[in-house]
Amino acid sequence: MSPSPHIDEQPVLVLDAIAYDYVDRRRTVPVLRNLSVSVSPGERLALLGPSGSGKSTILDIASGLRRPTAGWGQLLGHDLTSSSPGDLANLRLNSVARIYQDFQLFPRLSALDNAAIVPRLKGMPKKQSRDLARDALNRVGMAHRLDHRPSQLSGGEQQRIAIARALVTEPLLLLADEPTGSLDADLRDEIVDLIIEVLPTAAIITVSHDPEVAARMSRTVRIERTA
Amino acid sequence: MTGPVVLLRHVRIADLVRDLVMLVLVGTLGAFAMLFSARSTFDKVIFEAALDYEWRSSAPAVSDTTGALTLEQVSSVSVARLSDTPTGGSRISDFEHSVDVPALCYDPASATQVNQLFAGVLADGVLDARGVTLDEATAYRFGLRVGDEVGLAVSTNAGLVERRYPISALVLPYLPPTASQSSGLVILPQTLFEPMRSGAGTGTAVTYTSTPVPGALSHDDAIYSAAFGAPDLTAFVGVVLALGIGIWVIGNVRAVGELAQNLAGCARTLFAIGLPRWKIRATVLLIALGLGILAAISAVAASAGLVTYWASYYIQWRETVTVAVLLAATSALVVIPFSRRASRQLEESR
Repeated sequence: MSPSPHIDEQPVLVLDAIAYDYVDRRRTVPVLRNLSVSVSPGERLALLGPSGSGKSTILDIASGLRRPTAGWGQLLGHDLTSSSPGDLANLRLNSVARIYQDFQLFPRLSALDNAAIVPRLKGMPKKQSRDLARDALNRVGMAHRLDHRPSQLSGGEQQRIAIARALVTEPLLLLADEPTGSLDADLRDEIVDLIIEVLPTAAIITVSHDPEVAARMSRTVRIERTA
Repeated sequence: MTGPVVLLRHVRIADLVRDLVMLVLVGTLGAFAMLFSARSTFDKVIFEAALDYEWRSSAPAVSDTTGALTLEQVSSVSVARLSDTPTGGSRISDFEHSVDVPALCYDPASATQVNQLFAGVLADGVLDARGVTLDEATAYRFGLRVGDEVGLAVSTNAGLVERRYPISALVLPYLPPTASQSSGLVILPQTLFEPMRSGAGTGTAVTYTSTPVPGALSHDDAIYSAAFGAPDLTAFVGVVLALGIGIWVIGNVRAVGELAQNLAGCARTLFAIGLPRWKIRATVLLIALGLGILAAISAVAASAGLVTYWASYYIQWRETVTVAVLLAATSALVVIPFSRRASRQLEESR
């Protein structure tokens, strides 16, 4: 998919002819070739594709965690290929949120502190951060588990904490990797509605195998795996 | 809760304590070798190499050989600690413990030359006309340090003549030239010895005819040499030293590797959220450095106790500090580049 030739607002994310290779000592494994996509504010994009087709790698590149091997990208006006790691880290902290398939919660922190980590890293006072986190946890139905550690929670509950952490500071770009994979159908719909409600103007890119989730997005990009 | 605090919260204390104990054990081995190899007994070999003996039947005239330094060797002076004694007495004869050691007397006017002569074997303080100098073994025996007061006594025809003087310096443990004499040494200016002398006593004049004691090293030089390859290390000490430092380096590498692995998951998530890489690196580095420095200090304290107990060497505070700094510096040299690599790896291993 090519970037839109004309859009009213500056796109949140532009990836143009992106390629990415995994390189280890012995060999180079090509993962992505010629990927072009542009996402505008408020746009919701579903990435579909078979396992191993590089969907999570796209999210890594989009958030500046990986530099593309070839091509050009821009995130909120910052060049993804030439910005410093410090600039990209700052951009992630202030404008990008990520929901991981395996949640990536901090095992020694309570649900409340896990959700409050982003505002705390931004320098917000502890009480204010916790108030925001409490509100986000309340929205995802986890108000009764504030003091529990991840190991004391079910997979679905951990996933809701991860979602609360992503929503807490209202990012401009949400990158979600199977965000509802551990939730039942009713809760899945409820959570997707909540994400859209809380982040009405944010760009959302979600990787999902669930056609119901993909159907709630405004656009779908299918990643093909080639030999 | 800031990123580094989150990282600290995720350090496994049990693993950290295990690494600390292991580092202290190997550090003790290395520090022991360094402290031990830095010490050489001020024995008759070194002493005789610099001194010519000239027997006289009366107290010697001072410096009657042009350009030479003359010392008077007195066969025996009793030494005792004059405080904290079991009987609470104030005279040597009241005490349960005293030791007879040979003594060397010098003319205070020759203080510069005397200091030059003993510079290589000086353990602490400065030879001073207002005080006496003891060898370390004697000082250790009575728990004396520079600045303490010591009791000296000479047996004369008129009985035991006693004086108390401050200790101004310590020299390395001393074995006198003749095996029949007891070990130990007191060096004192003639102005302090004269009041104890009974008439025209008999002494031995020893004349020093060359510049500093050949082959002798200052303590700092000796520690430096032990750390960076002294050519005169015995094979045993060299092997122990190499083993100690080698295991110390391996232990540090292992500790920082374990730490990075320990924190990898947490650090990856923090980096993905937006914590700058340098903060992750600095946190790993500070924890690893703290571990290395704590282990170095503990190891040196343990090894100093071991050397003191086993070899009766009198370990000075500055020696302990020097060896601790050497171990800590070695730790830093290992930890800084390795923690940098480790933090980069944990970011790249997504």
